Amino acid sequence: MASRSEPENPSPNIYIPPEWSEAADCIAYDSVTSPPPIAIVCGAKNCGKSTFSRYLLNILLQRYKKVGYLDTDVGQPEFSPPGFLSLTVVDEVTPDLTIPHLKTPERCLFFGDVSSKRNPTTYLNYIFALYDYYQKEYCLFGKSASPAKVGLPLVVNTPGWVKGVGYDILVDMLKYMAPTHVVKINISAESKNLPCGAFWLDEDHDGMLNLIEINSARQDSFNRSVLVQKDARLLRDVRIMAYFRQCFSSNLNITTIKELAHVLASHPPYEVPISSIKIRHLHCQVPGSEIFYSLNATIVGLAVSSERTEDLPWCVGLGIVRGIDTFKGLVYVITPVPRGTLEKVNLLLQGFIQIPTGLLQVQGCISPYMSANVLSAS
Amino acid sequence: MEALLGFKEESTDYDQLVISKPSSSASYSYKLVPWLSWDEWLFVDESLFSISPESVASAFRRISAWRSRGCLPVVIEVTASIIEIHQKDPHFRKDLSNDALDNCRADQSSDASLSDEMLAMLYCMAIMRLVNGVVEKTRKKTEVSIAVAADAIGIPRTLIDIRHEGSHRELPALEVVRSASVKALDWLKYYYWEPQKKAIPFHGNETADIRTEIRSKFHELAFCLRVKNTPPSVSSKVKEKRGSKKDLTKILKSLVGLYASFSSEVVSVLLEILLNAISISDSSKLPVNTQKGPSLHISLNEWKLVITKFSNKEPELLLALLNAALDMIETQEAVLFETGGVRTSSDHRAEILQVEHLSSLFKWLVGNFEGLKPHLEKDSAPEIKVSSGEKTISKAILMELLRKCLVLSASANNQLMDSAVHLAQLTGDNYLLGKLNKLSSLVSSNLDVTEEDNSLKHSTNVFKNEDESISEASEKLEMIKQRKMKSKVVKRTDGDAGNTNRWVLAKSWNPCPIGMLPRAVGSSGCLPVLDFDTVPEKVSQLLGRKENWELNQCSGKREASSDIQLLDNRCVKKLRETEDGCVSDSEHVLSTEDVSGHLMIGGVWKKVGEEELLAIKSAVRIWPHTKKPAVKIEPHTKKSLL
Repeated sequence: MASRSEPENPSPNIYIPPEWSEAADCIAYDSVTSPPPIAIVCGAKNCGKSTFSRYLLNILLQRYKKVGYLDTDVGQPEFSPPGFLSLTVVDEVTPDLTIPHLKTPERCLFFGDVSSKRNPTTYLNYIFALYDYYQKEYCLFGKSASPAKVGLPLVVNTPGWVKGVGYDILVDMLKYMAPTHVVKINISAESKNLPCGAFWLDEDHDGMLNLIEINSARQDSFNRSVLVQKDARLLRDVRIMAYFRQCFSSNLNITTIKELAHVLASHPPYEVPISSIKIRHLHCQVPGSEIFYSLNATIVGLAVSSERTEDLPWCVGLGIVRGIDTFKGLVYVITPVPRGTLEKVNLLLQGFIQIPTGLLQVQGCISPYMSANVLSAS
Repeated sequence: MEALLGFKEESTDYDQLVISKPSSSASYSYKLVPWLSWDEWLFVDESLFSISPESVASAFRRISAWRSRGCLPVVIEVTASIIEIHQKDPHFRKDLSNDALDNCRADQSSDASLSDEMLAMLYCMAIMRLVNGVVEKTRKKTEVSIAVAADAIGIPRTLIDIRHEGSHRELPALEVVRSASVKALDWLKYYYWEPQKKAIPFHGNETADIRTEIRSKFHELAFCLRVKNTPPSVSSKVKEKRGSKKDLTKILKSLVGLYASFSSEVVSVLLEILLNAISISDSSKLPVNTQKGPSLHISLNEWKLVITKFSNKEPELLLALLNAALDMIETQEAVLFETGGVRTSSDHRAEILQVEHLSSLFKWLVGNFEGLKPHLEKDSAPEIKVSSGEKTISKAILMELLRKCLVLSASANNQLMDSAVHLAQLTGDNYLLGKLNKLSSLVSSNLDVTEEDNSLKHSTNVFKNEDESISEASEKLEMIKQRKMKSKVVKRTDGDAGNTNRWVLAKSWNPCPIGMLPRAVGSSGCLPVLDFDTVPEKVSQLLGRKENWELNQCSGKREASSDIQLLDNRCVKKLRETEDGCVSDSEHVLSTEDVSGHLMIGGVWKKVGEEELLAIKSAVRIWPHTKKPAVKIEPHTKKSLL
């Protein structure tokens, strides 16, 4: 890492072992540019997949102007709030490796849950759709395109669910994408790791394969790589709040959750006629008479449904349905998505991305869904 | 973590995810629930255990909506599951009356295919989920065995055994799990449904109890303030009860809490209290006896302090109070008008007196409270406001109040006329004020006539004259307003012209809790009505046939059959039920509260077609002040219909 003119390490808490920088360099430099490298990063929970992916992005950006980033970790996505699967085109180095940054993705789909377990088939279809889009737009330039055009390298970050159904999903993903590089991060607890070798390939496979196995960067006093414990739920809530923080100008002084909750409750929402949008729950059957009971005060994906039913609805962001006026026939939505983009939105996708309770508790303005007198038994 | 994304929240505060309500009597905490109100919960409680299949079905529907919100308590989920299985079990069907059986026969045929094994499997799964789900929540770290943990919360032993048998051994027999399911339901009622019902504040109390509670809180507040404001030497008797600031805030908090759930009761109780205070001060113009020790009587001045304190917390109160007073005057006058000849004169006098008291109360309210001053156009720049800007009333609302007041003052009500003038002053509109002053002098000259000749017959004539002059005046008032609003209207229609936009930023927005709708004033918000049938029919149709709709909406292609529907989608008909006394089909003061294409008919919103609209328009006349008109037709109705 020191060999190249890497900018000063601005995240001193992050330690990049030599093994990691070798792996990243190998992907970025010891590969042909056409077809561009497609690297999938996988491994158990909290082993450092996201950190390595971020690091790899930065290294690739030294050779390429732009790098694609396909995020398949619905629980803790890199550039989008939880519940999204997205393809982002990154064109600048992320200096701070500790913090995930919100970026507007090139394309995203709202899965509407923080784990693929609710619906593995849909989850995989969404990922394949995003990958197909990447292939179409950034790799396969038709015959008309200039041959000088270089394909976009792709980094794929995966969720840490590597056992049972999670393993099957990962194998399906690896088979579908057929990456040029697979980075497998191992931890000391063998039982938690993915199987050795090219576990996703059938035995008779003989194609090109770069499997890089590295160890987790975090190590304890016995030199064992350990997991970094994270409070996943808290992290998700913070990501969601950071997302809605974007409704307000960055020079507005909002530093605490309380302040954010307060300005959100006062923020003039968008109003959209109920008759001009569709409402769909991604994981539940909601009886027709109950849709507003289901929708009120929830987080929804703002999607554009296309005329062709077989196309998946691309999503442009998240919204909070902050109120529904059935008499006026209006739904009130808070979202940082700019007005111009919003205009195309005609579909509200409900899922199980829960609104952070911190946003519902405003002094003197507590949401009715935060109730007192609830039996602890429930 | 704290540095993450710039949120420096004290993590302890957030980790708890439950905040405790400061200085409240019980140690409440807030929890995320899927229901909007306890009424909704009570509805499900009642329907779920009802013997009517329709009620049970409606409970199931609501529970599936709750499930879709992702925070359904497991006890509710399991209760619903067991009841649903019972509905599929022929054993329980036999218990139904013949009628009910007939009702369900249609879908029974499909259930008949469920074998005993499948039924047993369903029961077993529900029971396993009950035991695991509930025990997991309550199980302490030290309690290793599920049985011990289950015992602690009194789950019948049978259920624990079935969980064990079902998971690890043979599937228990249908008879066993069936009777266990009945036990499970009983236990769920005992463990969750009944205690939760009891824990709901004010549940089961009659309205009278709530009113008593409100009244006593108001008196507490009044005394608390009195003690606070009396020099210590005088109040030696009540020294030990000296209202501390803490007490004061506590009482205020509970009042605000009451207002949140029972706003109309709070307003009517307060109005009653104030009327009482006025009539006492009216009847005993004798030397004020409040100085004789701590009397129970609370003077109007003391109430003023109470209202000020309360409306600082709940700014909408004052407006609600004013509106309630006007409504009461209106009903009283209607009674006077209709039964004038029939009633005995003493009754009549009492009613007249009541109106007088109400009017003077209204005048007193208008005159005494600063909170009514309208705020200047609030800049929409998103700032963190220290809520001071939100406490004032917008000018439009003040105008609405003024109009109502003016209409009522038509019946020679001097005090209301004065109040109207005062309100006009508050709006800061000099032209309007001038007009009103002229009107006021006209009314008072008419009044002189009335006072000279007290016969009722004569005065009705005068009333008629006044009616005319008043409606003339209101029309003028309308014109003034139109002129004022004209610039805005032009801007708006410009905006609307190019408005194929689905997404529009709400024009005026009062802060309110997420999940509620804003009130005119204040930030308490009001609960929305979420029933689907309140939504225009067209929506349900549209939701039913998505693709067609999209074709219509996007490409503009018209199918002959959907022409009318298309019209409904496209045209923004702005019809609205109003409370004012005149109808204008030219330009009108715009309100943000328009209801597109719908009309409140007999309390129900109904879709209105073009022809109906025209019929209504031609039938609309200006009514005398005692009657309310049905509709007001908004200016762009005509335009948008074209």
